[in-house]
Amino acid sequence: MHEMSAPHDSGRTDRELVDAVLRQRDELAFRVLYRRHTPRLFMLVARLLARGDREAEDVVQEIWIHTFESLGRFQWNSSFSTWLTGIGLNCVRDRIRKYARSRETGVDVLPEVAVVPDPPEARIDLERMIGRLPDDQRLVLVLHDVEGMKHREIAEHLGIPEGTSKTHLSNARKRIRAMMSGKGAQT
Amino acid sequence: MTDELTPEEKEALKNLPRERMPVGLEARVVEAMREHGFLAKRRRTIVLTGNRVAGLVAASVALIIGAYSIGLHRGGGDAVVPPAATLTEGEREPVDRATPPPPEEKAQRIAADDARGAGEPAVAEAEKKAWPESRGEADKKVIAESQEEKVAAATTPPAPADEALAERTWKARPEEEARAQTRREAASPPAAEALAPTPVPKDSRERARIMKFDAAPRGTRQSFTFLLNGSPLSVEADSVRVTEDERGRILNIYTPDGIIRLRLAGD
Repeated sequence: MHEMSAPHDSGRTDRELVDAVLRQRDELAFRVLYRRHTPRLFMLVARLLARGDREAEDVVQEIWIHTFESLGRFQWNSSFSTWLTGIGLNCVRDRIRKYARSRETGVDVLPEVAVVPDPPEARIDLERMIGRLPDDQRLVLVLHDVEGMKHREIAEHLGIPEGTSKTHLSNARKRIRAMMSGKGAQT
Repeated sequence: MTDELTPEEKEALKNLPRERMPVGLEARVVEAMREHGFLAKRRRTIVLTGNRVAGLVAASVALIIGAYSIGLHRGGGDAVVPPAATLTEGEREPVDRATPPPPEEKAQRIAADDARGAGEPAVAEAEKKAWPESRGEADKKVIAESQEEKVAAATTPPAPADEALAERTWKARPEEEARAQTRREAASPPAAEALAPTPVPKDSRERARIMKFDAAPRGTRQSFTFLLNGSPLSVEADSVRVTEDERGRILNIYTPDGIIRLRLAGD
């Protein structure tokens, strides 16, 4: 499909671009917004989900739709990026719950990325180690150690107590260290 | 070991990529946004690239050449459609100047000529004056045939039936021949009578007959010979064309000096 060319940054603020999309259904404005925020959003989603690019792409598309569906509630007290990330985290959490339900019912909906134990001698990079963490631990580790969020923000976004967030982070770091030393590769 | 990250661990986490643009997702998301009504329907635009322009030009040239070839194959723009509604069955058959009449008909004509008497040599003389040698024998034959038809037409009532007209053309009846002889002798000079159109009776309708038409490229002058009330009318023209208006069909003869228009009466 032919993609309309749009500058990565047209000089307009996020709010101006969002207004153009909402009032004029301006495709060009949306493309500027998309190109401004999607690279970071996609990387975050892909890392949080750890289910491959295709799954992350589906969720990113869902995030953009949900964002514009809920923009009427957005008061611009925070940045558009924060709002977008918040919606993204909700979508990721919903998707992870869906995975959990599928596992409970025995339906495998994630054939794309199977966590296969690597040989002990193989080098496991940090990205793959993060991907091998349990979902709740991975979410907290990524948001805290990679994205730099505070436990309070993480607790708000994930709907968990701050203490639970700290516990998940502690456990996640232990697992990572274990994997790095080659002791926890089978977990 | 504490829960705090070591400098190496912090460095490793810091070096993780933070951004990645998925390939091909933008179009998908835009389409999804459009389906949900957040973006306007796309107006289809055609971007004229160099290749597309070249393709359009090539297609246009091919179309023009093709149309021109078809036009040439079908006889060009000067082709004339005889006005079928105004011509009788016998008149619709074109007379081929290059084809001589059969020997029997020729003999009959000679006999008829002999029976006509002294008026005929004058007609032959007039033919020689009117048609120089350079025009060729074929043209003379056509004119000779036309003269015979004219004589027959002059001795019969207006608008005869086709069969009768054809018969009188080649076989003049004795009583008609006698009347024709009287008229020819009374006319002066005979040569002028041979070439001038016969006065048209009021109750008869004007008829024009295309005797010969050779398709030729535009701009090439040609000779067209018509029968106008039995009289030959030869025109040097670029082309002839039949047009139509509210009163009927018109035969347009395009000559270098102008356009001759003959209104063709319907049968």
